[in-house]
Amino acid sequence: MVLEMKDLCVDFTGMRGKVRALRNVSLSIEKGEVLGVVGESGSGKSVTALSILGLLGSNATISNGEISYLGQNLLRLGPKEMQSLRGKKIGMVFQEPMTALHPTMKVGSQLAEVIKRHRGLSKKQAHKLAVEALKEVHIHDPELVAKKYPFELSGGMRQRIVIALAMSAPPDLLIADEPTTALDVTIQKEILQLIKELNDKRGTSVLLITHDLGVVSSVCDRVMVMYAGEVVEEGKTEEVLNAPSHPYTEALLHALPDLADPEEPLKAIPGEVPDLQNRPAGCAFASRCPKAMDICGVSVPALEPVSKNRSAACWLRRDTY
Amino acid sequence: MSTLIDFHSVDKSFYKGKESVKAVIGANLTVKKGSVVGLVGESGSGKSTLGKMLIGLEMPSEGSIQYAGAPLWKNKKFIRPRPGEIQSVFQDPQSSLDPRMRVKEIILEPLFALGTRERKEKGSRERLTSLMKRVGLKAEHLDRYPHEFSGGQRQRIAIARALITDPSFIVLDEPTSALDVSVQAQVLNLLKELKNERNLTYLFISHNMSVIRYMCDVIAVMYKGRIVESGPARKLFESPRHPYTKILLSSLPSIFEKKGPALSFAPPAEVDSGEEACGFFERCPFRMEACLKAPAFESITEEHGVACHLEG
Amino acid sequence: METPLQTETSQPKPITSVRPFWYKLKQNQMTWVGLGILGVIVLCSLIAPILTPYNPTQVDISSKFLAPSLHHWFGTDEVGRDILTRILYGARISLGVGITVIIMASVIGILIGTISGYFGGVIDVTIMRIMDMVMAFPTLILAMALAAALGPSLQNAMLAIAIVKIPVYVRLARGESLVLREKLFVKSAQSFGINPWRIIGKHIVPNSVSPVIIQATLDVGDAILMIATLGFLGLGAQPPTPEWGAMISIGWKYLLDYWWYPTFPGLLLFLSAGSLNLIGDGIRDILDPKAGR
Repeated sequence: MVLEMKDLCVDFTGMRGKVRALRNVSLSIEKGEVLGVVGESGSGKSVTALSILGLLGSNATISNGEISYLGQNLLRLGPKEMQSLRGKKIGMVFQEPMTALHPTMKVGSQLAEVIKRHRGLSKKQAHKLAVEALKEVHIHDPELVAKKYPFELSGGMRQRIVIALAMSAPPDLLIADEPTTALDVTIQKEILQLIKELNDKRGTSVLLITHDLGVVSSVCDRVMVMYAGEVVEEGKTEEVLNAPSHPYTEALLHALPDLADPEEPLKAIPGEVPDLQNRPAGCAFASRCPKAMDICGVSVPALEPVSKNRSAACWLRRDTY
Repeated sequence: MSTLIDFHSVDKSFYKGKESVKAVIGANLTVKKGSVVGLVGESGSGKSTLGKMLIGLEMPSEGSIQYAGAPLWKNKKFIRPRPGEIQSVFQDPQSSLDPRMRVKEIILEPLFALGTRERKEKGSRERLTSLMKRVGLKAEHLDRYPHEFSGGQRQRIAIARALITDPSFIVLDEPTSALDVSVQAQVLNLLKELKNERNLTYLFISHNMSVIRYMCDVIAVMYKGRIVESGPARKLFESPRHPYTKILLSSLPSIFEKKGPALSFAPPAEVDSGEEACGFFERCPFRMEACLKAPAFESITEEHGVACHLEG
Repeated sequence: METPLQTETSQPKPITSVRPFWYKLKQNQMTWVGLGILGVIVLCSLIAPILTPYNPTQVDISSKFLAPSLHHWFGTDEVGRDILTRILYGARISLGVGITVIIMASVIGILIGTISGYFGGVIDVTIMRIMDMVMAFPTLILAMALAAALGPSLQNAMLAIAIVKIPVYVRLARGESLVLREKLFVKSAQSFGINPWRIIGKHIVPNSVSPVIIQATLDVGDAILMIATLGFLGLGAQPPTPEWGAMISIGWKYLLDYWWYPTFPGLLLFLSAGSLNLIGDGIRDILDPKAGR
């Protein structure tokens, strides 16, 4: 087990008081596994990533739960220790690559600097490894690219460099938060392939956060579906996408245009994501759920196994397993 | 179906100091009345620029655009066919709605381009209320401000604003790209219904192939300012002819089925392609010597056309 | 027959019960200090006739230069007028004039600035060159020159200060409208074919007021000081008007013998300008999320 999160609750204090952004979120990532966390805006998927990285803002408090990384309790670590963990033991890739790059430093030097720090090498050796690293993320002509500044490169190239930076330590876990959302589809595919390839080759575990079920299906071994700060379903990607257990997952799949049957009208999910401030009693999805029962409006279903390798938080699935 | 819009070898250059960048090169496109034409391409492919020429925000540098038989641009001036005839809905409803205006003022705004009498007529309370209901909002929402709404609701407001003048044609520039999947489906369905109810014509601009496929009858694929392929939606998806279209289709992350061998970009060309070359030369997996001279856009069938030497 | 598609939606988000403006204001203690001090000054000047039995211009030679006492808290001046009374009545002039001047300057500035920024081109260049010319002079010197040229009176001093303050607002509003005219909601309005003057009035001006209000609040204190300076130099309010600057101007000659005479008007000037700055800082923090912490 590389990472294990148990019953994590995160509260944000804002203008309108306290909001619970995460409710009893549990997850685990095995060595070499790619776990996808999928959800719409406000589902808490990014908060999950930030709490692992210890990057929650000062207005957030973790009120319950634990996160252990390679047996180490992350919530006990001080800010300094967290900082040395980030980047070295846990790699990070975010949506906007420019935020991770130094704007006025050549990319080769940035990479070399990080490698030098992690491995205690000489400048020359580090630079050589930096070029190697660029080659590994499939940058053609790495020598030339190493001499360029971030602004001279395309979005896809920048994201490759960010991945090279994130993998330089090398880390045991890579957290990628919407790594391809800002990119064109053709580039998106290449970046996802690259992440998958690094995962295969190096055995690095990956936590991939996305709003796109298509992205999940192309790279993730397992997927966790979040809604309104809770995990509603979790299981093997293929199984979840082919036969969803939770009505939300099912509805989400039906809301996507299907290329195989483009004339079929989309089944939109009525209504909108509930306001976390005024979270309804019972299941958060109940008001939009076509299969809602009386109990759904009263009591929150817990995430429980519904079959081998699969859990769901739904009253409908309570007795099936 | 009669032709509503006709782009004829339209160019658009932007100047940055002395350098000029061509955003659109030799675009030919016809939009039939009552159809939905999709423009698809990556960011910077010129698809939005093409749309902006139809609403008067960008002037074509060369070529002509006809709307219902009359030129839209004449002597560097935008000639409105009839105020409110052409409308638009943009990607980000957050920035396309003035944060300091109430919903009512926002929706009524396009009417200020009309005469007083027509404005009073079209902006009547009953029309406003029924329009709000039609797009899925309530009459009591009229006195609120945009920030009180979710992304999907803001886009509904933008749609209501576009409909208030009874347009016959609407430019939809990435109307659902900023929305969540579940809300995207609501908005796409609404747009489809409105089109049928009001016999509208759409130019639907998007980078999302599956959304384009769901919405459009005809699709034009743009790459670096050029329309590289266009044709009926089904044809284009079933038998794409241009290498870029093929790559685009095989890049789609599909949930339900795994497709055949994927096609990818070629590594950047070693030779300097020069000005004359095909725009896709740099990344084309099938590039050959002939491609150093740009191919003309040629029809394969009456509706399906492609600009590629492989199809010569 | 097609099946109806699902398109319904839900209620808008519930309106937040706490307005962000008040929430942020509550958190900003220095703003409250400023508001408190200014509030006391304004209130006292408004109810001055109740607070003091004296008349601000009534001469009483027999009680001249009395030191601060229970009868005359701030003492009396060279013709026996109660200084506290004169300060309280003077607050109406100083604060009133300061606010009026800044309102004049900012309203004119925002109009010129938004027009300049929205239309650009020759109009913009011409306007901005004129503004650069005005700004090339130190504000106080230019105000003095203008006031002297127009003739010494309170109205002329106000006019002079308003004129020298205008360019600041023109530049601010122009900068805002340069950003705003690229915004999608302005672009949409243009695409509808709406009259540019209407776009300026409905979109550009309302969306550029925030920074102008911030600047204006910070400037009121400055305008009060300038009015006082002009008064001090004899270019502003004329005796016996109880204007603070004019009072200090006469009083400073007696500083060594009768310290209270220039000191108290000076103290009030300091307090009002200071509290206005605190309020301005607070409003900036509230309206402009980019500035401050």
